[in-house]
Amino acid sequence: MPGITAERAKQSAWIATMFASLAGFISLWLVGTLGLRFPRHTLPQYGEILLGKTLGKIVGGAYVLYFLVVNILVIREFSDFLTITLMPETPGVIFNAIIVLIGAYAASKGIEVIARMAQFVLPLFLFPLVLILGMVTPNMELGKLQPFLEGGIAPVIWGSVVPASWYGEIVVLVILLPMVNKPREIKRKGALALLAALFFLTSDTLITLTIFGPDLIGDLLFPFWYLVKYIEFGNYVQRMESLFVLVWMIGIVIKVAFFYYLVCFTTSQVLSLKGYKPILYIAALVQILGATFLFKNTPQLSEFLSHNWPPFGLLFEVGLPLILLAVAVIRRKHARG
Amino acid sequence: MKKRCLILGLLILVILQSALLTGCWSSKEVEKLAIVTLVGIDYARENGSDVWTVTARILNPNANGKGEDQQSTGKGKQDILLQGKGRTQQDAILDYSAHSSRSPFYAHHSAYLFGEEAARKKMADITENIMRFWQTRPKNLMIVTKGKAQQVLEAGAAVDNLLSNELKELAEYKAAATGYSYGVIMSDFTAWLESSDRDAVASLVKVVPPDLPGSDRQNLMEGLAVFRADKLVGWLNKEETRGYLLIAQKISRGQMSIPVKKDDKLFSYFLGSSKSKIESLVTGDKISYRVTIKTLGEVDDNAGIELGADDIREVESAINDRLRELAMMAVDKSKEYDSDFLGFSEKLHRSKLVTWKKLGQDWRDSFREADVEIVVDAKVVRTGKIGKKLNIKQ
Repeated sequence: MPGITAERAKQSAWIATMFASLAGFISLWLVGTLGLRFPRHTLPQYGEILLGKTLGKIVGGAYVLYFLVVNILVIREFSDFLTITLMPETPGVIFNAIIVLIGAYAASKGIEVIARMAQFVLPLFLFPLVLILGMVTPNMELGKLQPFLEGGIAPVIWGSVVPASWYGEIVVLVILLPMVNKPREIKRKGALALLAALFFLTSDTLITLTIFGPDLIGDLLFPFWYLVKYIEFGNYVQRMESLFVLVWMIGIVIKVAFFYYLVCFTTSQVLSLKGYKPILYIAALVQILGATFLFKNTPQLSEFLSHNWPPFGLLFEVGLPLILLAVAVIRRKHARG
Repeated sequence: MKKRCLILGLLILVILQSALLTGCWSSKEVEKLAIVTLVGIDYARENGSDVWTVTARILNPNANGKGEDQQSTGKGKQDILLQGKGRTQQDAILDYSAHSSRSPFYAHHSAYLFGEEAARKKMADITENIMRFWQTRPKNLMIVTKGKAQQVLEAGAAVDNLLSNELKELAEYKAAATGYSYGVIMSDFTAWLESSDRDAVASLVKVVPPDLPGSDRQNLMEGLAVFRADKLVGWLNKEETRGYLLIAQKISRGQMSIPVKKDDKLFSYFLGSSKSKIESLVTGDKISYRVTIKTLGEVDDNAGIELGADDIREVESAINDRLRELAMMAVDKSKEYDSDFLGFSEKLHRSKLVTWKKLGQDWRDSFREADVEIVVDAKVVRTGKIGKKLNIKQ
């Protein structure tokens, strides 16, 4: 849950996170429709068919950059979180290097390994999450959500920009679609995934809001982590944050591995290479260095994440697929064969 | 050949791992930690400059294990008192930790104590400092002490081995239930300070002089400290605290004994649970509030009152009057201190947005002028006795 959403939308932050999912659904629809026109091609490939060789390569390259930046941001968030909350003396570059190495190993094994990993981890991830949320529900005070929509609808929309760029990450399907077994079902399955994300993100926001109130959350860097620290039942159930960090790290490893794979795979497609493995090494270096040196400190990172990044993210998640689809419709292009 | 290389590679990996297993930069041996259990912060202004005094109770590293040594030393040796002084808070904290070779570790620390002077002048700075420190926890207690925080820390625990345990247990299980005080936690306190419609309270602990011969100074958690914005403005005594609990908090598993007078006879109403609801009523320009309090309890020592079905009704109305009195005392204090710690304006903000927006910065004034009506519905569920009134000749 981003602090910026609570800062802007106050007690209506939970509506903002719900509203934000709209971006995810739009992106999914665009990508799904595009994908059905070119069931055997990834975005860099049909980009070239639609826009011509040069422009297509530029669009493909832009997506490589997008995946790279998303991954660098995730890695940097990961190391910042650990250095702030658990190991303040350890330099961030160590965490960056470790997670990139793990990601590199998974990415080198291909998409199926990452997918199976996600399949295996999902229950491990969901169970503690539900447990944690369940344990704090007795302390909820629904009154803290009032007054409903105090500042009108505008702050809610502004607050929803950041989570919208998260939901929009479903745009990764532009690369994955040709690898899916049943591409026709992608819209339904994707919508289910988005709904699940919507459910958990909204209930998390709702519960954090009703416990700490909007004023405090807006100032917290990691509201959910603080919520987990709040759990305390006598001497027996407390200090749950170690469990939470463990689970969260598993999730981050998958995300990093996945985006790492996307960076390498898309690059190989744009450059028409045979395999993506050689790119793994360069990407590792770029990601470690990028995550370490791109941002000087945490405030700069959170500033970037909450102000500068969302428009760019949304451009790639909604804007570009929309343009491509428009071009495809106007030029009546379908995949040959 | 290839297989041999693989085995060699694995071996190197395993050896490398054992180097990693000792931990990272941030690993700290338990023996190197000074586990802080309580921190007291005092502030004074001397010769035109700030003087912060930070007093901490730290677990005694030699007191673990239940050897015979420990029995002879007895309680009080479980933890050690350290103190530091400085021009800034951080300065004072580093100063006290300079007294020990171990580095302070706050993850097991249960409460912050603030001296009266610190709470009156510097509460915003202190809250900022501790709230944003990563080792503190949302459920750390916020306790204001009468006089200096140092005195409370010096007095030590009465029954428990550790003062920190005692304060924590008191605040969590006993304070609200017995109606003596309320355990205010850091996340609530900060949210109150930050909110635009409510003022904060904090638990109050004071050192009481020994009543019993032979006993040392003791701490007593009684009453609440009232804040107006970020400044301490006054105290609530035991009765006003009960009024606060009745209006602003929900009591369950209570063991609160409230003396009630009926026909010149005093008896105890043993309050088990209470719920309250604040309603804001706006008629024209006038704002008023109605509080509905519902309580369940029993009458324990009946002091010669026969409790038949009809009698209970009369007893209940006497209890209602008494509880209303208690609640009114809290409301009066709230108006006197000009601090809306009971949450009336918060209710107005939440339910009557239009009126609230007209008030703007003057919300405390509007509360001061508002009428508060309190409706109490107290029930006597049990008499708590296993027989009828005894006929003892007098």
